[in-house]
Amino acid sequence: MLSKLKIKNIHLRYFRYKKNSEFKKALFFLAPSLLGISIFVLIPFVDVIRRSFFDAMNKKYVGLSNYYSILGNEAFIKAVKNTVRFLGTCIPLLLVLTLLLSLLLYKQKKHKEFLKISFLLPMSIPVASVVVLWKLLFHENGLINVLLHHFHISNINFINSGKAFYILVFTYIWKNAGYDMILWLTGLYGIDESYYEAASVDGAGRVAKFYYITLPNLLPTIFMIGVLSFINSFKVFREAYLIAGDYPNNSIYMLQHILNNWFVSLDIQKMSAAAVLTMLVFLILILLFKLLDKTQEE
Amino acid sequence: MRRKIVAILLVLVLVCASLIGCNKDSKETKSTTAKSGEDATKKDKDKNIKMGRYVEEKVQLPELSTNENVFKMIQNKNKQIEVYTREEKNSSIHFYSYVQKEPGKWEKSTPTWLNDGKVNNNSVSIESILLGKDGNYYALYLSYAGNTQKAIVIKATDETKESTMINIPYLNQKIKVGQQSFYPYIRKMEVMKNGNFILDDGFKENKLLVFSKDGKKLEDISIGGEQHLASFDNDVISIKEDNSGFSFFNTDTKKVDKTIDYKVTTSDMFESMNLVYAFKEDGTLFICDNKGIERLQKDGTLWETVVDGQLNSMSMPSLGIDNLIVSDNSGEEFYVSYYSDNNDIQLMHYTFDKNISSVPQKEINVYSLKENKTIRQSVALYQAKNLDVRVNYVVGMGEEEGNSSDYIRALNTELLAGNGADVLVLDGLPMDSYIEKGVLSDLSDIIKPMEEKNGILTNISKAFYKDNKIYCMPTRFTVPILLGSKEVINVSDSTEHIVKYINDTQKIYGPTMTYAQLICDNLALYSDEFMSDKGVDKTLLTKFLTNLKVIADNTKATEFDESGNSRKASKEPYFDINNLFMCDKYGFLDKDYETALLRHDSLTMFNFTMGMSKNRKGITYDTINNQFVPIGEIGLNAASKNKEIAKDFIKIILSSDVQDTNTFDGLPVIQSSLDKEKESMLKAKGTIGISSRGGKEFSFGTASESEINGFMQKIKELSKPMQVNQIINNMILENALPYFTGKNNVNQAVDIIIQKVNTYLEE
Repeated sequence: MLSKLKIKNIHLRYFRYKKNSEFKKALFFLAPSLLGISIFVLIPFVDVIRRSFFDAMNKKYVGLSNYYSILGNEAFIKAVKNTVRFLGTCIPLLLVLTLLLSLLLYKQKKHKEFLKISFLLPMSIPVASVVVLWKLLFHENGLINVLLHHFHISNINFINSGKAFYILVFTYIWKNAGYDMILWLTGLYGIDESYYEAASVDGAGRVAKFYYITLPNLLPTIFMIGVLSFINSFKVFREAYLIAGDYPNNSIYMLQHILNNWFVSLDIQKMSAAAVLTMLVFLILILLFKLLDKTQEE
Repeated sequence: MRRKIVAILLVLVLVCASLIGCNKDSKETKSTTAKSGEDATKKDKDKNIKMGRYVEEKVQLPELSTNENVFKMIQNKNKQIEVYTREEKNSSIHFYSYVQKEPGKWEKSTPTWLNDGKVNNNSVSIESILLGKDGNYYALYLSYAGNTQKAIVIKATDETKESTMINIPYLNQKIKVGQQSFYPYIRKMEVMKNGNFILDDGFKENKLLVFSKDGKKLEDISIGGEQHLASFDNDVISIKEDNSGFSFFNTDTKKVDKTIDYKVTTSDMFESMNLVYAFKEDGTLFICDNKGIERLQKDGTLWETVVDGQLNSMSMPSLGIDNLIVSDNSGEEFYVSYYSDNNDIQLMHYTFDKNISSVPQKEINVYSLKENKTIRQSVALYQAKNLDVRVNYVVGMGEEEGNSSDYIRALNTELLAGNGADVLVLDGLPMDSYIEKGVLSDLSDIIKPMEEKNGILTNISKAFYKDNKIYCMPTRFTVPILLGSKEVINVSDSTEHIVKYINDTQKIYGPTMTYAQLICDNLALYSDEFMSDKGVDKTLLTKFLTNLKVIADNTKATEFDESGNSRKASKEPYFDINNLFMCDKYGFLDKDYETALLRHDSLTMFNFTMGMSKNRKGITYDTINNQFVPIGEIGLNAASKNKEIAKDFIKIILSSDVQDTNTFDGLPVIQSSLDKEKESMLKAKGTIGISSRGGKEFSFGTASESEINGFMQKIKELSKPMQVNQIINNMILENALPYFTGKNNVNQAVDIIIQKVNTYLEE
């Protein structure tokens, strides 16, 4: 008869063997995707990091001078400020709005699916169509200005003034509200009903239930929604570029604009340095988020 | 176990499916909008290089007398090449024919049937001579007797000793066109095997007319645009209505037997389909166009490229293709006749040479954002002289309209990878950025010797030197010339002086234009008033725009082109250096306004300028601040792997072989070509007639030698290239327009412009 220790060792070895062979199987299936990502994303990005230490044509090593150059570049600083302002305005606004929407929809009994689809529709509209629509509305001869003219109010230059920022914020929220709302709903459905029942028995009202039950249980979801919203916020560049071109109004001149323009003028060294700096900042932010999320779980 | 096998099989299927898309499609023809650095030829992996290719050889035409010109080439009944000439001597016209007995040897004869008085007189213009499929010779000519133009067809009879007029009643019936009536304008003719005639009437759009040999109308065939006709047996071959290929119309069954897809190209120079057909006796069809000579077997569907047009004169923009003859001596040989803008005929012979590699072993790439005719001409010429080199000319934007930034990004990607074209045409590209980053090589070793030999115009080349080095050189240039009184020309050096003149004299300064045209032209001429190396000065820009508004009000500029005279309406304003100075000038003769700005892209344009100045009292002309517009600026890629070949190519572009040819995209940059153009101007005597905007008729002769010399002296004084910053100019144009159309005031417009320009400059 085998001793208990020997049986345990056999189990451990079997378990390790099974884990290793499963790992190998997983690697085998992941390999094509990993290969593709390495070739098209990881290796080029390593090259970008390398290029950020060389001159434009990749001939002369220049050390950190590209980084100094962009940190002193007024256009870059302007773009970073605008990007931070945009993110700082949009993401909290989007999170709050979509949470409210999802709470309302959670309780909704009639036409729930119809309302969900309505909110999700903007996400499926192609960018070009959105641009055409926005031009129809916000152009100097667009619908809004025609209406204003009808009421003897002078035209508003939406695209070439500070108001362009608000149009962009509106575009971002309008496009992504449905998506975030669905994610919130998923989080809400994951909360056990028995908590609410118990709270009702204890005499908790709506606000107390929201604050002590709903919100704490939604915290893991916040991290995921936050990251996804953050990534989606950069996609709004497509609308900004198509409506306002390479050099839009200062209020919507963002990081992607300057990187785009640097590419056209062959300032690859600046572009690479800016990309590396941006990546570092985002990495720090995401790690902070992750840390917060872990702390909350614990 | 079973699951494992299934999983492995699934993976295999996935891998195989993904690899299927990797096979090479050898049937695709090369696209000229491919990446600029792409190696288009596939290097033969075998050590044996495939040999054999058609080569071009210029056929020495017969020696002609002074006023004798070749106007047609055909293949005669004996399958020999026969050219027809027209001689004007002592006010009489004579026609001759020359038959090529052997290469370089021609036998002259006088075709009596053309010299019997019907065709050889001054009131007739011969359109075509052809050997019909029925074996008879025919001629189509236009008679201008009695102030009308009438088409007449004659047939050679009695072994070409006499001619008989073919009675086609249709040609004697007038057609109502608008308010007037005209005889049919027959542009082309074909005679079928059964003697039926096929006529292309210029007044019957998209139709070919079929007549029996006794002149009776049989039917109409619906076709595409302007036609080069062909017939074989009972089939009439024509281009489809949507220009996507050919249709074979059977005149017996009166139905379209078959259609074949083919991408029909148009010549920009000649504004027509640059395409001819030929048939062999076995029914094989040959097409000759800019792409080359392609063959379609009878009843076949696959086109085979026999002669690559990229390697010879077929792709030259300065030549139109007139006729193709296929001779089947020992293997297929081709004769192609070309005509140039002055209607001179050239004859080329294409034979198969088995001692040359089928694909040139060396290759260089030339890239330009938009099609450039001088470069296209140079490519064809260079390849004709250097059979072992292929010049792959890539046009980034091709026929597509789009955002040039996207194409520039694609080009930059290749340049960064150390690839990119060997020769870059820098129009529209960020040239200053390329020079700053060392993308371009110094061209001093090419330009300086040419300057020393008194080849290149030094005033043009010197404007491009930076620290004793030259990185780009224009291949052509245009000159904006201002016509007006001395007083108005003196004030046209700045917008401020122009405004002062307008306020003092209350005269209309220039023609009516759109706001966009006005802004573009004045930005090109006077941007120095507010722009410097440091950037844009806000106060000076405000002043500039205010001045332009005064000029716009004075000339009654409009938002949209209402007259239909300007080339583009300002729907989507965009600063394009090729569309500058294109405003109306005919009202100048009616004294509607005081100045006319004329864009001179050839020396012959000066005839027009002199004529205009002579037809109005007290008028002279001058350049504006000695400015010129550089066109086709070329640079050499510093990372080029074929630098020596690329330099040779650049030398060809700047040589007299290319610069002598008028491709209508600018004046030549070498002195000898300008001199030649002057000589041909002096030889070409004639009268130019124009109508003014008010309907008055004006006529004037060509400029005299001293006048032309005066203009050439002005060309030598040009010193300032119009270096246009497309991005800044587009910002100004786009954001100044609302000010001009009254949607905002000048300060608002300037604030927006300054903000954008500053962002651009800060980058």
